Amino acid sequence: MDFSLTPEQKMFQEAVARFAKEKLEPYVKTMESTDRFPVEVFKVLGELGYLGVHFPPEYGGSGADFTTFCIFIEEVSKVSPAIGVNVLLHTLMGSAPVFLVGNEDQKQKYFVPAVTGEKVAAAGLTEPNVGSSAADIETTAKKVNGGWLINGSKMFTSNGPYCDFITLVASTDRAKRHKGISLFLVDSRTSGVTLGPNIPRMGIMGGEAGSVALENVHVPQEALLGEEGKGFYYLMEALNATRVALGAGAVGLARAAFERALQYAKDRQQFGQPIGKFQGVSFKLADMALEIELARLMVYKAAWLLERQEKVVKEAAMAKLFASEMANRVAHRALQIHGGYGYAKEQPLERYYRDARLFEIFQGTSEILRVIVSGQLGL
Amino acid sequence: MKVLVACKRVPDPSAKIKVKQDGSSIEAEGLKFVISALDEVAIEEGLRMKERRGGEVILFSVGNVQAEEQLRMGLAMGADRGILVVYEGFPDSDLVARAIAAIFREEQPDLVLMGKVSPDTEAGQVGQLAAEYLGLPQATFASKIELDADGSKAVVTREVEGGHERVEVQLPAVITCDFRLNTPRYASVPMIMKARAKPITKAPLDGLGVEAIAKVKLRNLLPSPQRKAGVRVESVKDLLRCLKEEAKVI
Repeated sequence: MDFSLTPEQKMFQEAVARFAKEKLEPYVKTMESTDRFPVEVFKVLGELGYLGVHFPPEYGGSGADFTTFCIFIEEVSKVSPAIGVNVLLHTLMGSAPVFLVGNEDQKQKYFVPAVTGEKVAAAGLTEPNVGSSAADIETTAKKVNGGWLINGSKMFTSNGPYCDFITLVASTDRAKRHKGISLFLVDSRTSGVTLGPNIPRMGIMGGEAGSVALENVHVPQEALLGEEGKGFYYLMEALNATRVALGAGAVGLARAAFERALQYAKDRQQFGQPIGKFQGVSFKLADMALEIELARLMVYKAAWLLERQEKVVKEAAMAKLFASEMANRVAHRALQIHGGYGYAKEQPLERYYRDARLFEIFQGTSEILRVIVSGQLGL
Repeated sequence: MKVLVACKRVPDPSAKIKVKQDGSSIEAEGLKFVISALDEVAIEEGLRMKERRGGEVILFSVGNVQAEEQLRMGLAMGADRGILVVYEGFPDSDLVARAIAAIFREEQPDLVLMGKVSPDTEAGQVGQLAAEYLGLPQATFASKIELDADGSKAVVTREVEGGHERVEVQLPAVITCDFRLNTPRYASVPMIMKARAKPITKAPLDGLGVEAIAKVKLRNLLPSPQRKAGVRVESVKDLLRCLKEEAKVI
């Protein structure tokens, strides 16, 4: 048993922390005010190998492990959860399935450009009427002469407004429920595809997510990703990795909030001493440090299981569930410690507080994750 | 083009430095160390030369064994190999310059690059001393380096008081780098992965034939004095009197 990061992981952590601070932080203010994603970031990340951290070099990846990818998401999310989240979804939900089950042509056409940052991927799962209950997908793909005819609509599609292709979840046989679900690779410029504008949200400003309308979209036979009817299983696999990495993102966000609160508790003087000397404040900080540490351990453990290709359903759900709820508690307390300054917009505490909420909702709400964990316990 | 570049381990300039109780050194525990920022500029310049002309970028560091971390980071930027001259004490500029001279004689590079100064001791003497020991031309505070086609000469733009100075040096030479020379790259993930396999040779001083005697001995370090609170004065007249009689500045 070994709890230490490898020398490469440590070096990577330092490099990406510095990169995030110097190159990504300058975007944060504009992203907050415009709610736009700086799409050029994908190319910059691609050049540095950040979009293919844990994929093999034959396909443009960097050949590192999944823990290293989690370190990447943690450090980026510490600076900008919006960038962290959209890049994570591009990689793990949009591109990873192409690598995992795609054929060579699909890998060359979609996966490789997604790793270099030339193409931005979106994952089309959530629909206006379908969220947690993925087996009820209403978007349909019908076999027609020479390909498939897709109809339906998607909602809250991250990277949707500016994506180049969509890894689309559609039902090829609705009667078979989850066994009738298949994945398709759809170019966003295909006739009949309409990318809706960014949907205004509470937080994660700039982490654009929109709707996608698909009206009589004709795609060739080669658009089918993997086997027909296996989409649900591919999706579950992608979701496991996504949940672990989202846990890492939540840890990054929580660390940002915690570090500010700790500094403030040392600097802010009231009643003649730093407020961190009062147990009402210091105990909060002790709990925050404790919970961040616990969440990180859970994330690393799940990442480790994933690397060993062991069963990770329960641990992935636990990692995301605990880390996302932890991030909300930490953001709440960090804001509280700052008092009026925390509530004011000039400090990012209120941003952390708003951003943290998303982590409890997407890619499996806290409630769904409890269903998964209890199911894994045999209940 | 074979370029020898300095890669010094220094405390992170943004970190809060604490002096040990006995004043013997700074408190290294929990302190983050980085490559000296201007050495990073020098590494970047060496890498660009290699990318244009081919050749090799060799990094060296004089210091404790932990300096291997910084050498690895430099290798992750793209350098080919590293030389770590292990010295556990406080190496003064002269000792470092003699170590560089010894490495130079062994490696016979076309150029030696380093930062003009490091942010820890700010002595700013190593480049000049090394050039003197080796009898090589030197150009300091470079903000631009132009190599001629056959790599026998370099025209170096130096930032000096009130303007720029352009000097020409025959190679091999020692050039110290200034901030405006370039912007160092970030280590990419594949390069970080490759850095582990790159060789770092540990060279003890006596192995290099360098006498391990520093001319400058570190007696003790003192923390910066605490700034006292200012005083409020009632009038301009009072202010002038204070400046004259108490501060004694006018």
